[in-house]
Amino acid sequence: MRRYVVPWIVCLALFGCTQFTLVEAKRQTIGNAYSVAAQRSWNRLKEGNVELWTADGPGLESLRFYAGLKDGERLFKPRAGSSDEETLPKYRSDMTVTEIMEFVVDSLTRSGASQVKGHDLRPAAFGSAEGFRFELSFASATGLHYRGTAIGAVVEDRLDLIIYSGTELYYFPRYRDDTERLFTSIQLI
Amino acid sequence: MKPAGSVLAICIVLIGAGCTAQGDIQDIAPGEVPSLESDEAGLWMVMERAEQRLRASGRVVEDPALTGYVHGVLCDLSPDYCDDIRLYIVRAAAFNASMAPNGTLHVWTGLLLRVQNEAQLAFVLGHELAHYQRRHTLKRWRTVRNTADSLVFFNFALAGAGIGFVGPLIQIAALGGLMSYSRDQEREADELGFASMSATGYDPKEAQNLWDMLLAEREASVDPDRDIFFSTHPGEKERSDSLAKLAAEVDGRSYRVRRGPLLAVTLPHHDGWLHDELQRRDYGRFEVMLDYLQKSGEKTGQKAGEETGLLLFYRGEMYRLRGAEDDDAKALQAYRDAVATGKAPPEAQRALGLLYWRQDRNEDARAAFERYLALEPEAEDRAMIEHYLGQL
Repeated sequence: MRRYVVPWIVCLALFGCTQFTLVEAKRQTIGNAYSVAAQRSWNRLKEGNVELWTADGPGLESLRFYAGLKDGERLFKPRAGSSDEETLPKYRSDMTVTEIMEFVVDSLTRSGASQVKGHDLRPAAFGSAEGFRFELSFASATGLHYRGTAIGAVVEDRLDLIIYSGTELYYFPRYRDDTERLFTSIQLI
Repeated sequence: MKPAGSVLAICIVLIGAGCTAQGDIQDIAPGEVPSLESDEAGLWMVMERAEQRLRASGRVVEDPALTGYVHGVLCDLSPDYCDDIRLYIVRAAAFNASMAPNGTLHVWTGLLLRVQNEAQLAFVLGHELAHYQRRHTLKRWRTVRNTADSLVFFNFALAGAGIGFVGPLIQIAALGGLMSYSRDQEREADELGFASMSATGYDPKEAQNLWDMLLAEREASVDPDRDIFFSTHPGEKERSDSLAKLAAEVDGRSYRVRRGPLLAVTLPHHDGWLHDELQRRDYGRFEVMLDYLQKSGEKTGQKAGEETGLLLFYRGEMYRLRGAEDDDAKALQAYRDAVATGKAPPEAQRALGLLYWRQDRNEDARAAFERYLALEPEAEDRAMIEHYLGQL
């Protein structure tokens, strides 16, 4: 189990001690920003405008949804008693897409992942909005490799973002097709 | 094994071996291995597990030229112990090195980025080697094992979990070094490291120069109290002064500093290592580090153009990310200066394009993006840059 410590830390950093609930295979609303069609059932952790869905456990694979991130908000909560308040990356509404990818990469690095790389940044539709896609690769503290793919858009200065990631050899490919269909089902609210 | 589990295992192993006779602890001899029933063998066993974990972590830099160079400096300092030390270059920002009682030496890339010459590296390696030769971990363990302080012995290993973004990594380092040494042990390691570097012909003044740089970085840091290096190494000015005093006492013969060989093996990594440092987003610390690197490059002139282009680019990156008042203008100037050296990475052009675009200088942005694509035809973000060009 310790091989999956980093994603669990990421999960806890986001959601504290909230409980999983069932996501049914039907259209789901994320925050008050957009909706997606779930292709299968997932387990959901939710806090405010951030959700994490997983089928087999956050250490194996997860979909992370951010809805309407505002200026100054972060992907992860600052840890008490640390310098995170000053140094954890914050979203800025004047960021270019290149800088948004950098924001995600640096945030993941600060959450405990290592060798985080963002690549293949390209334009992509996020529902009816003009958005972006990019790919991710990273490793846990014990060297287990993960892959990820992200889609997002800035709508009225707020960042909508979905990140799917999973262990490179099995779990990432396992739900990749479901994730692609979910990405194409995005509808802005 | 989780850190807390590792600490528990250490306690069980060492307390189980607690009947070992006390008395004067001699320096470890070259090639010596502790007897199996000793508490020292227990320490070695736990360290071997930590070593396995480090090897699996993906953090070990696999560059035979770099590792061979650092190991070579170590062997020059102490040929007798050369074969007893297993060196790992660990990919991690921040200045740090640690020596485990079984001769496992961790040197972080943040340290290799910062040492400005071979003399400074030799001082650090000599210092760490002294911890091994003098069996400091074993001495510390035997001093505290029968007291309430025995929990303090492991304090650093447990506290590592709370130290910033390198939490998991520092646990590895903590188990590598096992604990913070006592003040007297640090002083002794300083003296031996100093004697070792001087005897090998390195300029002894560089020990103090290195120490002063680290103090300056800490003072500029957003979080000086949680400095990874100083959490295990007492950082008073007194230590810098004592190094200066030692340097004043050595004879007047000429000493070497040597920057070229160090730069030859580290420069290919500087881009990645500077990026690692910037990701900490401790801008005050980063700026001080850049200033020192730039000054040392200017002093020697060796490969200075190549290094300066990169340093100026990262100075621009620092201003862009910090985003304080006037930082966009400062970033723009730094990127321009970097490009003017002819040695800036292609990303400097992309960064210029993004800044010009933000300032509505569309023609300048277009030219910069086009230069980026010309310099980097296979750029992974080509599709996005072409999209930007379409919007200008």
